[in-house]
Amino acid sequence: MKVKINVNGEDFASDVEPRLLLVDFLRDTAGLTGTHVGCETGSCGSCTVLLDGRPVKSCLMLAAQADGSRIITIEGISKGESMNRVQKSLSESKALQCGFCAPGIVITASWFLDKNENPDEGEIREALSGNICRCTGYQPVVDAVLKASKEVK
Amino acid sequence: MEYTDRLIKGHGKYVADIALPEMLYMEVVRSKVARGNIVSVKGGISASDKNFYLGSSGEGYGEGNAGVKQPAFAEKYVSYYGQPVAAVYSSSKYAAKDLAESVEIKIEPLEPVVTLDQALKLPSIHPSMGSNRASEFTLGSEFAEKGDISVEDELYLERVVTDPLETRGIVSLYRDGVLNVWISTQSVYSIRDGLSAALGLPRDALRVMQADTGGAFGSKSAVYPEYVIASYISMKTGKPVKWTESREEHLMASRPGRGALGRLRLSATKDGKIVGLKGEVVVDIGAYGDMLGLNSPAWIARQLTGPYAIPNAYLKATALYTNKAPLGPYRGAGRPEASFFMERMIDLLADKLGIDPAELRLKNATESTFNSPLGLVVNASRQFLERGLRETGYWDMGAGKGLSFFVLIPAVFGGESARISVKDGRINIWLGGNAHWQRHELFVKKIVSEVTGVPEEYIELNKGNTGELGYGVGTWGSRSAIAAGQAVYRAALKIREMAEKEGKDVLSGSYDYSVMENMTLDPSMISFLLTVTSANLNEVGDPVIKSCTAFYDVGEPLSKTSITGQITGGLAQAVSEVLFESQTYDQKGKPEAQTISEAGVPYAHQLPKFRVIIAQEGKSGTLHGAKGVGEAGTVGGLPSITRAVESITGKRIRKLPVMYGTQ
Amino acid sequence: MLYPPQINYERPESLSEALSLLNDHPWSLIMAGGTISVLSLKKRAVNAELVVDIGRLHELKGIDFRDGRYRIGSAVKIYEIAESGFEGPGFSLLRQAASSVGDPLLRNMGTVGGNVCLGDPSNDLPPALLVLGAELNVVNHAGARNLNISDFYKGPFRTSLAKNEILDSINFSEPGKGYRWFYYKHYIRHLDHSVVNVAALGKVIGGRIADLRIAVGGMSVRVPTPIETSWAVGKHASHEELSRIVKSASEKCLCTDDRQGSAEYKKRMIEKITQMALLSVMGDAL
Repeated sequence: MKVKINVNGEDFASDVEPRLLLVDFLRDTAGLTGTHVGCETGSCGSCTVLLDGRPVKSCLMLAAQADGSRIITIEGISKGESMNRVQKSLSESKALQCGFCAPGIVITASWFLDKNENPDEGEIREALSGNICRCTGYQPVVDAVLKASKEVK
Repeated sequence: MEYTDRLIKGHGKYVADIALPEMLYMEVVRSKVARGNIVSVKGGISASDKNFYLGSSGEGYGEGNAGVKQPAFAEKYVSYYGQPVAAVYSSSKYAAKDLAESVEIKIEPLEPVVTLDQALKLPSIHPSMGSNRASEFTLGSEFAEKGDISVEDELYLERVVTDPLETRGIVSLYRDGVLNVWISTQSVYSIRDGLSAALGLPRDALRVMQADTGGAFGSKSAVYPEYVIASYISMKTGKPVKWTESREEHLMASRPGRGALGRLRLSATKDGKIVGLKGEVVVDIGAYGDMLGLNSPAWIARQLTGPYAIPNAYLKATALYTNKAPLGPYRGAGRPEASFFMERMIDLLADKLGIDPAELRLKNATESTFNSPLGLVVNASRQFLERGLRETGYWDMGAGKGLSFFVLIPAVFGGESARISVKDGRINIWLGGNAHWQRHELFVKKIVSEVTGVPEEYIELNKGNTGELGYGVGTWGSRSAIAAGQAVYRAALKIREMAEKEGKDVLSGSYDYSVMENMTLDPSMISFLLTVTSANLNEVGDPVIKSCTAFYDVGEPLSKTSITGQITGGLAQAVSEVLFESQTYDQKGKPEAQTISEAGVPYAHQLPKFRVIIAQEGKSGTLHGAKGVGEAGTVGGLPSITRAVESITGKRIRKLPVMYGTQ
Repeated sequence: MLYPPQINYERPESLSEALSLLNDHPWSLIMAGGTISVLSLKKRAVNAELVVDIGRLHELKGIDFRDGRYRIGSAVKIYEIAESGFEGPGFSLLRQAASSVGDPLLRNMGTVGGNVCLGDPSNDLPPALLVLGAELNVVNHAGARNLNISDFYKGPFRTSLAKNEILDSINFSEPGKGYRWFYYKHYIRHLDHSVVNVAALGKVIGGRIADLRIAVGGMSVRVPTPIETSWAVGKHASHEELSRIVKSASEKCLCTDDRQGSAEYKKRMIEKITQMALLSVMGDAL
């Protein structure tokens, strides 16, 4: 079937199998491999992207369901070499280790901070409750997001 | 771009991201019973076409492999749920999955050996073996118990799956007589040597390159059947073959850790001086044992006296086969087992004597270098404990507190390699221990910069590659700072010397130096870990961890960021392992956790704030003075958090994770 | 890796078109958010001749409040409830239940209809809707029927929804002033099945129980289950009544020892959380 999905501002039109997962459309059809597959059951959030402005887990959606939507992936969350405030904070604090969760966490945290000014640590932890980081015990990540929340957008 | 920035921008290159022309995608068809005889396999490639046998590789690498070698494809019978029976491939990954669904496997089920009791009572799971006893050891020597009182208990740790966020994966390409492998791994050398042994290829016919590695925690050190099969398919077809593991496969058929039982007895004088330790350690090593599995019970038992001066000890240690996926290392690999067993016993003794657990530990902590009857040599630990109890605020804590005091023994055995190359005004480094971004680059750059005087921005740490550095060991067992750090330090000294000889600035010359640094464990490398935890009860009366403070001896701290992140990660693992994380098996030997959530991997909102106090108790006898840190959080955290939960609920804990309602 | 099998997929433009498709293809899988349907396809746990995507049907959208009664379309996303500004104890209870669903990302994906129609005992909305006395408006190609949600659940993952039917909307009256509400979900492992969920709504006038409704969900009871409390209406809100209700809730426990805990533990959790619910809705009257 034919689908057209706008990814990071660019239209990708393609004839796909109806069963194609959105995450595979992004990775294989659009060639954007920053969106990762971690658990395949919607638990870990490695595949998080913004769908019409809200973060979703792209491993639990068909590309067909996203037909006509606007998607922002990690590659499109900040332009070129630049970084948004969450990325900058994670970069400066060196909060991450293996980094596999990073794209999902950046997307979720950026969306959350856009909606919530001055969140406390507990609210940040709740906001990240759909994203797993297996390396850090979350403390360095939560600290970095908290720091980012105090930066100007 | 700096690697963190690369990952944050989504520009990482993991195995799943590798694209090669004509790529084939492999899927593995697995046993859906834990034990049975294979009647027929229709479709795909299976043992009747070609088979290979795995030796020991990865952590615990050693010569020989007692018992039964694991076949790449189950042959005649299956020994665990999820064991590879057949494989299929296609140029489309979705089509490969469809093909896998079409393979018909008929297995006549047999009653599986699931529990340790069954392993002892029932005939061997392998027809070629006389019993399920895979290995047996005796440590220390028999002694007559003295002392006024004794305590004994049986303790058990469930299996835990490593669950790195990136599952296992490989791309194999056999071309022009060379097998090129791109892999998510802790050691390109384990993979090269393991594949070489299994496939019968000379080592120099393999080139193994580490892809960005999305966590490992022990499970990416050894060679697995799937790696051999993917390589075989590439040799057969001449095309690149990619295999990425599903999470479901990871939970059933990667190598989980723990599954260890301790039956221990402590004897002590009435004022709390421990005079004897007896008992046994039994480890469930699953269906096949490599050197890590076979040695694991002795490795756990050897550490038991920890930082304590216990004059007499006598332990039996046994590894048992069961119909489960083979045991692997997991975040601590034997160390948390030892700390959990011993610290649980010390808490029990403290309760029986009515002494504060900290006081009891102070009474027994070593006051000078101590040669344990089990073969462990540790330095004086008492002063460190005294200082830690003060600095963590232990004495002022209220109800629901727990502490643990134990040792972290780094796996320095085998040493490590490093290569430094200076060219075109830049320094490139390769390590035998392959970083999967536990922030190795932080301490590696620091060491090389300090020794050579070259600013860090001109220095780069590269991923593992057997073509760039031909020999090495791997990243595990809290060894990287000590062993890889030592090797890179040595290489940096040499590079500086080469530049000095030419009277040149390091960066203006062109140098290349590789070194294999041998190492043996000495007590200066062993760290002391004091962990203090506070728990309370939530509104429904369940235990919740409020805070957890690590006071860990890291020797010379090479990178505080790196150390802190490693420790908080380990503590998080300890919290979930105490409260809810495990892989369990039903009566038929089927793994019960089939998703990462069911396994109980923790989320941010389930964890407390962790506090890390970087303590220093002397330096290790290495060039840089650092000690190990990678597994500190699980070793220290497990018993401390357990005690805090026990204190707040008032019920003795013998098994992890706690079974809600019985504890 | 997990990939769905080959499927036929239709995204009808209207509800009537969707209903005809279902009538012509009785072995269809209804998809809205995808969190359940895509997962079942990936696990190859369903064998569907057609996937009917109803996620965008405008007929199934919207939260409306008219004459004291809410209509919530079945394709409304969970987050829309969680973020909706409606006040009043009834909607507040539902909002709390919706905010307990999965995680923030799954709430952006999943729909009310999916949460209600799966019949998963762990789901959050069913106990809340049971105490709200919600009516389900169910449609097929030939017509519509209304049923009370208490007649909907037939067993674990089993509902009275026929193969050719779609849940159109959920309707309930705002109970209004004087009511107090409670919702609590208890789980051991996040995003795993819950142990027990309890929803409650009640009103006490002059120390007497004027209305009291409680429902329990979670793996401990297997099916979203209302607790019989009509006998308590009109009685004094006392600790004695409270204990009797707690006891009748714990009798609903179909508990065994498993990875979620011991049977005794689960029973204790039902009792504990039901007690919390009663203390909360009876409030100062006790």
